[in-house]
Amino acid sequence: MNCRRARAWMEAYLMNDLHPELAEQLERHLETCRSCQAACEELRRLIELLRHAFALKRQSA
Amino acid sequence: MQYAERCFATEYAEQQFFASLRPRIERMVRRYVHSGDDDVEDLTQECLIRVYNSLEQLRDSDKLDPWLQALVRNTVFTWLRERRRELEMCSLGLEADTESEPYASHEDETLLYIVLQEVLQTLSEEDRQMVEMRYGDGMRYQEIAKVMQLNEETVRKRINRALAKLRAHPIVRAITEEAG
Repeated sequence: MNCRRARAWMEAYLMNDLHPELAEQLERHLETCRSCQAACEELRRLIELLRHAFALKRQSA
Repeated sequence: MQYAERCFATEYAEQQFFASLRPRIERMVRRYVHSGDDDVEDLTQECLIRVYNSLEQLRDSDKLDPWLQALVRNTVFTWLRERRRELEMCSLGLEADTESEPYASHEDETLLYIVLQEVLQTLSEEDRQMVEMRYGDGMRYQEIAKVMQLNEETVRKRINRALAKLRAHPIVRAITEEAG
């Protein structure tokens, strides 16, 4: 898997919504690509923030 | 002609302008800061100084409100970052468990919430719904596609595009980068 494809599937991977075969390919890519590791970590944080923001929204509704 | 030049024909007009600005700015600051009146007052004053120093850059009076909002947001965010840094300096040597939380304070959380709401407003109604289904309800692409009557690949692409837009916001970027 190259970086472009890795980035395209990263969100689904972090949301546990990726086919296991693709997830395995992505994990192998992440093991060797520091730039994608950093992008994946940043995306993970953004997803956490979004989940939290929606939880707050619902609390205040 | 720049906005400031048009506004301030006299010193009195300038004073009136800044006097009218103070309560507006204070209201904006209070959206972000709940730590006490002293902080709100200091930040309001800081914002007024920044307005005074940079009003010349504003050319279009129609853009005063968004310009002011951005200025207040940036001022508050800078203050929050500095304050957090100070707290970190004070607690050096103490064990801090911040790994499970992406942000440290209630102010950060409120700021982030407001920023995300603002950025989400820049998405189309459909994209906003999909983002909320994904991160508010934890729905899978397949489920979202069914509700929206779109194919899965379209949903995935649109959610990824929406995320890229969110990530591009300077405050969101600063918070996600800082949390690492």
